[in-house]
Amino acid sequence: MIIEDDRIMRVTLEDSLKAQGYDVHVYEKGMDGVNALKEGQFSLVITDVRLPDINGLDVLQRIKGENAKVPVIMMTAFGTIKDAVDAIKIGAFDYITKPFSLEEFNLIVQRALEVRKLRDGDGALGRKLPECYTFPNIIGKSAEMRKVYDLIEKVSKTNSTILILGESGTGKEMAASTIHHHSQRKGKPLIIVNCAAFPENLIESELFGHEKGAFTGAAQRKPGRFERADKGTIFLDEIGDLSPSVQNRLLRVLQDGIFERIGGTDTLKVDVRVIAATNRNLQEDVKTGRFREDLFYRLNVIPILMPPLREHREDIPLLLDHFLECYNSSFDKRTVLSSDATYALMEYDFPGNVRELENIMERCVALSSDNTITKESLPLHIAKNQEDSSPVVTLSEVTSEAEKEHIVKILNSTRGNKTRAAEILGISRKTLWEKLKSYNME
Amino acid sequence: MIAKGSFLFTMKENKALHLQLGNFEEKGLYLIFEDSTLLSLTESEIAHISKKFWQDTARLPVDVRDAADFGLCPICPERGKKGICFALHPVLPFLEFIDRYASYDKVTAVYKGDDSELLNVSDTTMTSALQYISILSLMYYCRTGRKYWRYYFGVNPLMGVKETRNRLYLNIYWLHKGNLEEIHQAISKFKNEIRIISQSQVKRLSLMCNNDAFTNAFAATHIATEILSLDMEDALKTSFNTFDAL
Repeated sequence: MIIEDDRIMRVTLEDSLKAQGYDVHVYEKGMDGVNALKEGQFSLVITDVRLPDINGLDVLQRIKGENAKVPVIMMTAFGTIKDAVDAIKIGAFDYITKPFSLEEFNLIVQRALEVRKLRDGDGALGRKLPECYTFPNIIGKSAEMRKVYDLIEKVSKTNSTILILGESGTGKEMAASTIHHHSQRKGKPLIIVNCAAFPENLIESELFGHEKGAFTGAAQRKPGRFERADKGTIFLDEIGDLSPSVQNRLLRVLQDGIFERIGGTDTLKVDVRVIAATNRNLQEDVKTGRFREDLFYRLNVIPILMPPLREHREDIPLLLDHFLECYNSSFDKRTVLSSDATYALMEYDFPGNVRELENIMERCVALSSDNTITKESLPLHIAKNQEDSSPVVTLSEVTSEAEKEHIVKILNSTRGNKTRAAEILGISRKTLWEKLKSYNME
Repeated sequence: MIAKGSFLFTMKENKALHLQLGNFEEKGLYLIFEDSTLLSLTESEIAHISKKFWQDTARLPVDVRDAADFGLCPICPERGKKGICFALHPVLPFLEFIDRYASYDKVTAVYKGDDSELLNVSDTTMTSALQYISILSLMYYCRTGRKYWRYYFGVNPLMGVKETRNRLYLNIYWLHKGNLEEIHQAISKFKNEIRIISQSQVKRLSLMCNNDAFTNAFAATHIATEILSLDMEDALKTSFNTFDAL
């Protein structure tokens, strides 16, 4: 959608976009565009700032209120830095100053549509994917995540033991839960145990239960988590933290499905599917003797590797949208994310993975006072990370590069006429020749 | 097309304005505002007012004259010499008056072309109406753009966007004798130079304007050149077919 009161600009931009195969709708007035958005689906809005009926910033605000996912590109021939900052704060995708080249314009349009596609999860995972690829709470459309979905879908139909590997915050528990809820055991219990959360002397009793008087404080018989998980699934998180004695008992359950409560003599048999997870390198632990090799092979029947978020950055916009929607609903807000904040988040490495991203979004939505999350509202280390990410170059390298670019531009404009180019550049022909030589541009 | 004699303009909100054709004798553009003010932008009037204005350039604020953005374009053949950009000549004398209006404000524009029998009348916006000045500024007064004035032969500032584009194609085709390779090179150079000079002009005007009519007019003139070559071959074919069918 183009909202532009000037006929020449409107028709030219329309012709240019139509020539590239886009379906374009044009409006002269801001409110006509806003009303059209209420009735139809638009992938992108391009609006002038100065319009005859309402200001372009009002248009932007109304559009964001109507559909926060539509990227809006603002354009003006009379812009100030303050206007641009205001527009970006309200959630404009970009703010361009006329006169601009169509090449520049087309690039911005392409970029905006790409971001829109990512937000929609168009053609990949998410709302538009076939049902078999849709796992609630696991979000992503990247090739890496597709592999994970593929595997989850396959293992859900089996009874095999699963080992989920991945850094903290990559969604290992979510994957385990998805496998359980897509398996034949879905109506049965899913018992989650964080093995690292219990002291060594308690984890054994927690998993296998104990008889009355088995140890000091064991006032009555207590069934363990394996018993409670019978016919269902047990998820053993941080399995790499288990002590050798517990590893022994666990191996027996995995081999024969049998165990005894602590202090008990009765052998109990359970039908439990085991899904284990760890952020440790278990193979390394096997080598050092920290983890039993036979247990490792028992667990590692089907491994699933959850990729760190920095390896599938293209999923970040989808995750941002998901958590924005989620926390907007929790806090009863209509917060939007500005494009500069999105860029900053996409540049960030997320050592804490999806969990860290979720925490950031929760914090930003909770604390946002003007309904827009800008780069400045993000935690300092993220905003700063983007500033620091530019390559380290010296001033002289930057100056040389700019000089070289400018010389090429002028030479192009003079169609290679060096005398004319030297005149325009305000240097002698000899100096130009020397510069061309130094840049290997003779 | 209007016959000679007295005629009546119907203005917005049913206001009527009586004008005599005698008011539009000279070649140029006449802007009639809603309060009935008539601004004559004829070639001779522009030249006259411009000359008078430029006799006293001291009226330009010092901070504007000293601003980096006010200087000559990087590709200006006059660069290095002292002086104010030539493209400002037809603009500055009217700036104070025009700057009262926003780009979207409506105006009635009357254009008298070379043919003394023809007048084009249009209810339009300030941006469209000011095409006359921006084209004159960039393609006639500007020392870089003046070589392109010939491309605009027969272009009427009140023409439609596609009509203007077709006219430009035909002129460029004629001037480069149908050599398509040369035409594409010429258009590429034309677009590049117009981009530089119009960007510089908008920067200069932004130092002085409080409203956006003039800046938008220059941006519109520029964007109309940016799209050149997109549909040139089809447009020329259509034009030639129309001519052949006569």
